[in-house]
Amino acid sequence: MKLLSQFRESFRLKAFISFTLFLLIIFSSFTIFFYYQQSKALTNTLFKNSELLIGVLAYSVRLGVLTENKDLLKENAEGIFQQKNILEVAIFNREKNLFREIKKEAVPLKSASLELQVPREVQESVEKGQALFFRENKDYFELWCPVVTGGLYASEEDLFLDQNLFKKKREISGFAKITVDKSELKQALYLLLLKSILIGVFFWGGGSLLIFLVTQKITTPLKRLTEGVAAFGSGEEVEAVPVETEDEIGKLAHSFNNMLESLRQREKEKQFLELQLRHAQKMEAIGTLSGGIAHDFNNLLTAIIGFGSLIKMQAKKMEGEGKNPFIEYVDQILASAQRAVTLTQNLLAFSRKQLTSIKRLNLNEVLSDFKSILVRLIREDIEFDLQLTDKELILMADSGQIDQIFMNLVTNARDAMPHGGKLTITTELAQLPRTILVTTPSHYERNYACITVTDTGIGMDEQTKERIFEPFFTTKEVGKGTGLGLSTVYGIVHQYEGYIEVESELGKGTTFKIYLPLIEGRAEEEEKKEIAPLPAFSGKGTILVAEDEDAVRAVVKKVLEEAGYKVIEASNGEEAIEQFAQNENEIDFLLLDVIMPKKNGKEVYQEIRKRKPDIKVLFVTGYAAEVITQQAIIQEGLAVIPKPVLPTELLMKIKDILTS
Amino acid sequence: MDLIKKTVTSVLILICWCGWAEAGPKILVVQSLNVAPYEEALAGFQTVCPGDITKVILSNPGAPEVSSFIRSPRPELILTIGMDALMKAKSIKNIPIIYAMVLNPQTVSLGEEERNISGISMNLSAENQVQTIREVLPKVKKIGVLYNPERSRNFVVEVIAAANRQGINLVCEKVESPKEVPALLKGMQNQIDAFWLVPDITVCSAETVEYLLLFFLENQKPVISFSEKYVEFGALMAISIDPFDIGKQAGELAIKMLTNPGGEPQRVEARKPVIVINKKVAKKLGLIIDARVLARAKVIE
Repeated sequence: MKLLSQFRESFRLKAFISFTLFLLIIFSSFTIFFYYQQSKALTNTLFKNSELLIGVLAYSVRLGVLTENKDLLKENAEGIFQQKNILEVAIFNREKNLFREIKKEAVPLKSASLELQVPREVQESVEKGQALFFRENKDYFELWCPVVTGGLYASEEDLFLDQNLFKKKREISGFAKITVDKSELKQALYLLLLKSILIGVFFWGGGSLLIFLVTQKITTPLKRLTEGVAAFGSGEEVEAVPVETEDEIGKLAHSFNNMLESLRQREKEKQFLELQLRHAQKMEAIGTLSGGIAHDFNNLLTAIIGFGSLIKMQAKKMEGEGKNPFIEYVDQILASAQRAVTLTQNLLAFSRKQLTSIKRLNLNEVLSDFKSILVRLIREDIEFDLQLTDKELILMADSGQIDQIFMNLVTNARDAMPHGGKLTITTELAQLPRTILVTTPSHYERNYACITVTDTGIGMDEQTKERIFEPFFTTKEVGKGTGLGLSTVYGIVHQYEGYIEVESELGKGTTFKIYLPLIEGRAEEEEKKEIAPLPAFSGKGTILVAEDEDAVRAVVKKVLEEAGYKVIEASNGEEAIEQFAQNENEIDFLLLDVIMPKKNGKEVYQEIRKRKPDIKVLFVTGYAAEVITQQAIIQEGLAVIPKPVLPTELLMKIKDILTS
Repeated sequence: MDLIKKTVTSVLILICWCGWAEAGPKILVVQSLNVAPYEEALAGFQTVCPGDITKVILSNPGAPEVSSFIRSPRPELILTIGMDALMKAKSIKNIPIIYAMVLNPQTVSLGEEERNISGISMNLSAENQVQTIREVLPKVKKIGVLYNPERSRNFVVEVIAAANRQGINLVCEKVESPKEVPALLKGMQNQIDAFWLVPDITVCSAETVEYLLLFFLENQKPVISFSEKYVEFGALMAISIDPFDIGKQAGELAIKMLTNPGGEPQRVEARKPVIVINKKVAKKLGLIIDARVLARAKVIE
């Protein structure tokens, strides 16, 4: 069963056994054929020799038979008797009686020893004209031949004429017989059989060995391949299979190696993608975390800045009564809060939850406009080179965020070149190189604006390069960097379905390549905002403030009331609607948080608008989780103010809306 | 006197012959067999006696009777070649008959009634033969002979006489059956210097001759035979006939008979012996043959 199983599974065994069986058949047939031919030849030779001997005997004893002279027979008969295999020589006279016999006593001759007369069958055969008579048994065979003499001439004259035709009819003067032993023939045949079998076995063995070697030669590479495939399948480390020949097997091994290499490459790519995915997931998690923190920070900062501003306002009012020492402290609080606002904005930008104003814009124009600011950012020992492509690079983006990308990258480049160097920014129309892995293959077909920012600074090692996009990761001295610059850039680029690539070498510099997807069409005109002078806070009217964060609601209420507005509060959407219903005639303005429990700001506004279509509204938004709602609000031309809400900004915005 | 007689006879023959020369005599040739020696004899005959020849070969199946040829037109001469032919023609009395190639014609009883029959036998003169043997084998003094008295008595008697005259002793043994040959040969081998194989069918069977030739070769005794065939098989020499010359001899006799039809019948022996010598056998036996003999002999190398 085991052998059968091995036979089924092993091509080598199958090939070997099949060919060996084939060879066995061939060599057996050959051996049989060889034995048959040789035995026939041996037998024929013995018969022919015996025929020759009996012929010679019959001829040589003519005179002896004719003259019935035993002495004359003796020499010839004994001469024949001496020959190999001859058991008996017998001569019969004209009367067919045994005349002389020589035989080997040791050999029992059954019938022949008893024959004192020429058997009838021999006589009949000779009478029919047969030259020889043959009979045999298993141990020996007999040959009979008539002794033919020439007879006498007819007359003496004939002796002179020298013509055979004068001879009398040839006459049978007697018979010669030999008995030939077959035992030697049998022995020779047995030896021949043995020899034939040995030759057959030798060639069969040789052939089988050859086949074994050939099948081994063929199957060893196949076995290696199979083992390689099996090992590869089970995830083991597999070495390339040696390619020893150029034939089909060699090609197969070569293909296997190619496949192995290709699979290894794919495995590497897979690992790289997994790495990237983990990195992206990490960044996403960090982004989510940052966004959440920023949201809560915004609310806290709204309260801090609001109440701080109120303290400052009150303190200023009291200035007449003497310098209030707390103003300085409040300023410190407000300044810190402002830095906290910037931090929060950066975090939101990284987490792609920053409130944006996305428009079609020309990248080259944005860069040209921003160049003067960038130049101011770098030092004089740094050469700045801006190379813009002639082609139009139209993006769908927030110009502020694009500015932020450049500002952060340029700042980093500057810091990377403490001893001066060259900073180059180029733009060009490009497609994604295949070195950048994408989740959507069609991205390779898209056109991108490629922004390259190259410095000749200190560069980064691999370890640093891997972490540069993480928030709060910085190599700068404490207090010099927030660690949010590149994470902000990363966030913005990914927000626009773009890609970022970094090449860096320690001591030689760093190159950032940013690919931002291009769109068809032309850039939109940028609206020029005019900053109105700070009006005196003399607000009139009633404002419904709907905000779920108590601290924010309280500070907003206080700020508005300080500015002269009457404030009706609501802590969620439904409450806002109820409050409006109760004070419908009184309420002139709605200040609605975009996201609130029960009903969001937009829904509240839509509800109220049904009752009072001309109601003015300002939405307050925390972060870009509200992006969809927020974008819808913006698209409807409604005003939005981002958190943290600064008192002055809020009041000016409300005033603007009320007076528009 | 003899010379004058011969010359006159020859002139007469020539004159007569010239008379026949244009048309030629009408000759019936009766030949026993169609064999080469007979044809040679006939050719020899024709060189001497050309004529209008009608030939009958008796051995041919359906051959007509000889008598049918002698009626019309009647032949002027009958030439018989071979014993059978002579026996067939023997009964014709009124036409001259010339026989040729007949051995021992004395065995055919030719009496007064057969006066028209003349001829040349195949027998050679015993005297000449013994003489030739002496020339070839001068040292040989005792020669063995086996013969069947019933068949060869006359010849042997002649030979014994001739040998005795020339100082050779013939050791003769009588043979009645070929069976006796081996034993007799063994018996005489020490008494003889050479063996003479005479034309006797009792002695000359295929088996006995073969044995005989081998026996004497082994015993270093030369064998003298009567036919070239035996010289080829191992005899030292043969004193043989020349059929062509016998034919010529017969032709000459025919002319004589035609020119002198009433003359005495002439029955003579062949005149020309042919000596054949096997040089290899001679060498084997250590014999040196006289160069003069070799010069006139047919030598088998």
